[in-house]
Parts: sequence; structure tokens; C-alpha cells
Amino acid sequence: MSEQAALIQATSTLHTLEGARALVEQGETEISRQRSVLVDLSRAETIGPNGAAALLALHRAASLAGVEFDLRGLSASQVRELRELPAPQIEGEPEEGFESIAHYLGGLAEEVADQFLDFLSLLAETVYWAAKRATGSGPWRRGQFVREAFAMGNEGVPIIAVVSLLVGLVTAFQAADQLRQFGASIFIANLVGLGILREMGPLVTAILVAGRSGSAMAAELGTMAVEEEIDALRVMGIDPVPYLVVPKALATLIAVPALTILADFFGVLGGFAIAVLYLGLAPDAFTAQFVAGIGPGDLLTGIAKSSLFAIVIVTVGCHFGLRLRGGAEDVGRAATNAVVTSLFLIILVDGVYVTVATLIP
Amino acid sequence: MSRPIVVEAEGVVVEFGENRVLDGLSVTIAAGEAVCLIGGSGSGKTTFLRALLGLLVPSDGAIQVLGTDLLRADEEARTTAARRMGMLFQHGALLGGLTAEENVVLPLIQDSGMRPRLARSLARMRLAQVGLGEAVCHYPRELSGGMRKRAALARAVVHEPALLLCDEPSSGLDPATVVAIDELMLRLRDDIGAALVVVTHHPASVRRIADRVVYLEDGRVAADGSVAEVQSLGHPWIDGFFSEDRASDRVGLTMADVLGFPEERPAR
Repeated sequence: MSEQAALIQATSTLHTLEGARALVEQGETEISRQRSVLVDLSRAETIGPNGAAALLALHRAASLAGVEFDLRGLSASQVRELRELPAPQIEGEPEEGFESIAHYLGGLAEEVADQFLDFLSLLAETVYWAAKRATGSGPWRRGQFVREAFAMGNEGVPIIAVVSLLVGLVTAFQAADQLRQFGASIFIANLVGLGILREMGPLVTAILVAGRSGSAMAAELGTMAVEEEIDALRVMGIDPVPYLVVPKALATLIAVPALTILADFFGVLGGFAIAVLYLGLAPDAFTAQFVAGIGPGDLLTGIAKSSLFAIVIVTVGCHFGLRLRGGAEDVGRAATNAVVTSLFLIILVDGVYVTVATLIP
Repeated sequence: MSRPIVVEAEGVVVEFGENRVLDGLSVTIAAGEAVCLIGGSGSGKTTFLRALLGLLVPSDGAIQVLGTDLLRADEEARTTAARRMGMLFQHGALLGGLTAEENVVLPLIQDSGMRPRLARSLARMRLAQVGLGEAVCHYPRELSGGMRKRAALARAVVHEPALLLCDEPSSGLDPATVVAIDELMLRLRDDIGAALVVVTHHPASVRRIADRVVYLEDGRVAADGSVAEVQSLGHPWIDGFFSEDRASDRVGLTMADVLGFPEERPAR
């Protein structure tokens, strides 16, 4: 220790939070000014975890600043204390600046690629096991598919009916005045029919099912992963994909198109109500225009889309649930991620579908 | 005549990122042997069990379980080996949507020749054996912590595994239930003749169960022998463990080491 060492006197209150704070404040000031710092502990009867943390903080600050750091006046009891107190990990401070951002972005890209591969792998496994199940093999929970389909379909009816009705009303309202200006009020039947059957019906249904059932799938499987139930299945030689995912996949593939047809009905009903009550069209005229302008192809297009959306919802929900590692708080995150990712992919799939269908007649 | 070896691990390395949890672990376990794995938190006990089950893939080393080389075997062979093992997870890991009986039936439904009636009957028998004869139709949420552990134990042994692995079977249980679970494990082990590997933090359980104690430290075997043998080594952690004195938790880097002041210093 050089002769110009700054002497810091630890007080008898070093073992308290206040004493520790005072020592660090004084020590940091001296470290910024001097080339060496000496802490005298002769007045401190005990050091305690607070005092030890303060000494550790100063030791770390001094070594980072290239300042010599030393103690003096240690009693036998203080030495015993320091020997008894476990030292915290002092390595591995978080990196800052550009390197850590680059590291973060690299990690993020790796994570996204990893998740995408997992997602595709789960999709392929689900298709494989569903096909195998069709031949009668593979582990299976009797009645599970029916229970899942009932829960998803039956319990989703009220919310989907109400929301679809409102969407039909709003869509028709938005168009009504414009059409009336051109004397084309009758075409509201075409607008509502095409808009609901081809676009809004499948989309509204998929969004609501992703929010209700997709998140529930992620939470259910995530909780099972946290509780080691998935591992227990694997240990018993039961593949969780055919046992847990396939019933959900089949239930979703049935429930989403069925709910879409329901959404179509209520959406068109909303449009019909506006056409009759607001635009003053005769119910027969609306019906005739609807039948003339809308074909089975429009309904089938919506159902085909809804099947694709169902695949997205079930694969994303199960993917985030099955790959969950961690604790209870991660279950909530998995459910949120499942909903956000499902919504993004649903819109993406819809966009691709419409583009391809438009460009390739 | 020596008993056949059911587990042979040689230089097993398991890493999570940069964290090497198992660092060249080597151990062998014979049929019918009751082995207790002890060690501090993070020493690799549960990780080793998961590697034996094939739930983790080691980055190096070799693991033979029940004659199957887990690192070289294909998926089907690993699954076949896994089906000859039973695992009692730390929190039971019963499937919440199934009753106690349906949970215990699960390992049996993999046996395609098993009639459902027989599977149910076997499951009820095992549940009765663990004292849950009245609770066969209860869901896990309707069972207490000790009952869930016992149901999970019934599930782990119902298919008569050759290797029974138990991860902290007594954690979170009252002392009387701990004794009951320990005795149950031994009785079931004796019934089915399986090798028993138990991870535990209860010294009394180790004394009751263990033919052999394996102490893990930093992902390696630091002591291996009978209870008396490992106690005679004079290792501070093992001494602390058996004296139930948690001073052992303080072993490691101390503030004196960090600050570099191992001795008393007079005031200058």
C-alpha cells in the first residue's frame, strides 16, 4: 500500500444498512481521487452481511478503477465473520453497449430459427400421428377428442355469435350511406355476403378461438411441462404429441370451420338487419340478391381458410406449451406468446391466401 | 454370484449453455441395489436421473441403462428402455385430467397385450398397496401432497420396472409420511426386485434406504460407499449432511477469500 493511501474509517454502525451506505459513498469518492484506499475496521465491532457487501462493492470498484484496496484493524472475530460469510458471485457482470446488443440480436435470431424449426417439426409429427391414428394405432385418450371439440365449439358459440353479429352490423353500416348515394343499396347483400363469408367470418372466428382456446392450450400444456407431467408421459413411453396434441388438433379442425359457418350466419344476419331496418330494403330483395351474388365457392373459400387458421392455432398453442421451460410465470408468457404469434400468422396466412387466390384464378 | 449391472455411466457430461452440470460423472448400479444420491443444490443429482431416463442427452460420455446404450440407441430402443424404468418425480407429476387409477393405468396401456380390465385391476392393487385403496377415483387436485406422492409411486412401480428412480420423494412431506414413503419404496423394491435410485436431502431417509450412498459434487462422484464408509471420509459437506447441520451450505468462497484477509491484522 503506497504512502498516499486514503484512509477511510469504518464506524461502529458498519453492520447496518445505513453504515454500509455511508462507507460505500465515502469509499467511492476516495477511489475516484486516490491511487490507493485503506479501510480501517478497528471501530466496527461486527461487519455483518451489510458491511461485507459494502466492502465487496468497494473492492470491486477499486479493482475496476485500478486502485489499490486494503483493510486494516481486523479483529479475530471479524476474520471469523468473513470466513463464515459466503461470498456472492462476483464474475459475469452483464455486458453493456454494442456487444450486448449484437449478442441480443444474434440470440434472438437463433431463438426465432429454433422456434420455427420446432414449429414445423411439431406440425409434421401431428400430421403423422393423426394419420396413424386413422389406422387405429398410437396412444389415445378415449373420448378426449370429443371433450376438446365440445369445449372449443360449444363454449365458443355465444361470443362468436355476438361478435359476428356486430361485425355484420358495422360492416353494413359503413357501406350503407356510400351505396345509397349511388342508388346501389341492393348491393349491400353482395358486400356483406362476400365480406363475411370469404373474409370476416373466418377471421373473426380464428381470432376469437386463438384468444380463447389457443392460449388455453399453451397454458394447459405449459403447466403440464412445468409440473413434469410431459416428462412423466415420455418416461412411460407415451409420446405427448399423439396423446395430447392430436386430439386437440382434430378438435380444432372440426370446431373452427363449424364456428366459422355460425359466424357467417350471424354476420350476414347483422347485414340483413341494417339492409332492412336502415336502408329500407325488402327482405325478399336482399335474399334474392344474396342468393344471386353469392355462390357455394364463397362459403367453401371461407371454410378452407378457417381450416388453415385452425392448423395455425393448434400448432402454435401446443408449440408454446410443449417447449415451455421454467416456472409458473412462464406459463402466462407462453399463453401470451401463443396468442400474439397465432394472430400474426393468421393474418399472414390470410394475406398469402388472398394474394395467391387473386393472382392464380 | 455378482448381480447384473443395470446402470453403467462413464464420464457423463451434461451442459446447459456454458454451465456444465455433469462433469465426467461415472457410476455403476447393480440390480436390486438401493442407492441414495446426495449432494448440494446444483450438484447434478436430478440432471443425472433425467439423463438415465433419456430426457437429457449428454454431450459426452457413455450411459448404459438396462443393457441399452442411450447415446447410440435409436428412438425405439430408448423408449423400450424407458418403459422398463419407473420414475417418481419430485412433485408427483400426476396428470391432472386423469383420476388416480387412470394415472396408474397409463404405463400399462403401452403393453398392447394387456386387457383393460387387468390393467385397472393391477392399478387398483398398487394403489391399495400404497394406502390409496379408497381414493382410486380421486383426481390429483383432491389428494394431499403425500397422497399424490404415493399415487405417483404406485404409477412408477405398476409395470414392475427393473430400475426405479425417485427424485426427492420426501420433499415437502411431514416426518411420519417421509418414513411411510421410505418404507413403501423399500417394500415395493423388494416386491419387484428393481434397483432403486433415490435423490434425497433427508439423512434419516438415507440411513433407512441406502445400501450405497453416492455423493455428487460439481457434477462428479466425490464419494461412493456404504453410509458408514462415506461418513468416515470426514468430508465437511457429508459430515454436515448427516449431522443435519446446514453449515455445509457455507462451504465455498467466503468473503475472507474474496477480500484476501485470511488472518487477523492489528490496527496500524
